[in-house]
Amino acid sequence: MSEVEEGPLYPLRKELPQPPKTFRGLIETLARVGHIYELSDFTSDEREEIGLEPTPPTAFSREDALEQLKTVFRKTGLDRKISISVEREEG
Amino acid sequence: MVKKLRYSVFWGCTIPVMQPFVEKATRLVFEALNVELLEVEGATCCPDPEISRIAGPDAWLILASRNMAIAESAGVPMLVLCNGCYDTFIKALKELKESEAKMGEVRVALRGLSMDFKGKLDVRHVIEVLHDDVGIRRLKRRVKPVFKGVKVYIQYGCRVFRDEETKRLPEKFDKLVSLLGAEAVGRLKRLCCGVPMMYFDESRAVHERAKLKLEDAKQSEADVIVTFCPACFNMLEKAQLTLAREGTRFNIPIANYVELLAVAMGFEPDDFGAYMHRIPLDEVWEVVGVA
Repeated sequence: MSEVEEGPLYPLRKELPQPPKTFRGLIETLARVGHIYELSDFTSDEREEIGLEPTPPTAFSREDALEQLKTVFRKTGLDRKISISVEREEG
Repeated sequence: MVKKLRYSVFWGCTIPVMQPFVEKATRLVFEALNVELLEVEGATCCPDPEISRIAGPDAWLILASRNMAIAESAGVPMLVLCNGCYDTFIKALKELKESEAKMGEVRVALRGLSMDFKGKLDVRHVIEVLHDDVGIRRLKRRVKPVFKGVKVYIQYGCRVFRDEETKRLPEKFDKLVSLLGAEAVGRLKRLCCGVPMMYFDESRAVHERAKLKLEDAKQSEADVIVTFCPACFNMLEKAQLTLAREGTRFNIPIANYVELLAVAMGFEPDDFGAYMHRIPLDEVWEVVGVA
């Protein structure tokens, strides 16, 4: 069977000592909003238009959930490994 | 009287933001099937089984467990819509089951967040919920085979071929598609769409993975590519827009299976916002008679 038919189905299964630079953007967004995508006003409007809550009840709207994620980043050293700042929010 | 099924529902990152029409269709379908969905309040990214898992395996395991702990506290199984999220949860549960030490470390970390996780959560892919829990017999009573005459290219998503737990999902997916009356076509259905490769080399992911699938779909004369995986959905749709800019046009719409199911259950595409698709499904709806 050719490579195309069988395929290398999963190219990214090994742990790496240092993550590639391209990972930074995704992890940064994750640290900032708790998800790998940001929720724009446009999307919130689209959600509302079809009868969904404009903001899902996840880290998008729950500051405590985002703070917990940041705590895990800090405690496991992922913030330092990726060189991002996940300081506790003031106030 | 049919027993009411209840699940915590894990939507993931992609569906609520990039494909809200899938979230809406899912809510409509499950409500009509008398299935109650409870939110996983305060969920974060699962986190994703590629980047986060490789970059920070400890953070990945703790955050996956945190999400599962919230769902577990509701005392019902967790319904997962996204193949990637499902992969994360199945893998995380397996790691925890195989290592008492890891389970202990995760529980300590979660106690630091005032949470507890017993590791007993039943994680269910939406394919399993539809095929096994709701059941084909019950679905048949609600679904009309309105997609007769429509050629459907099934995109399983590579993650469903990984484990013992997931290996029967493709066969169940096939049965769910035949329930709609559609004709399944295609040869390279098992091939990865290119998402994991995209993080390293977007051009290769588009040209050496997505394009191959799209060519196969075109040769099969597929009217629509159907998937459960929101990442495959995004990739195959975005790849078509990229390739069109380079002069190669496919114009094959992508649909989440649940959207087609909603229509086969009598909902109108506008009920769930199908007009938001970047590649319109109008020709498919015309065949079905709901345009």
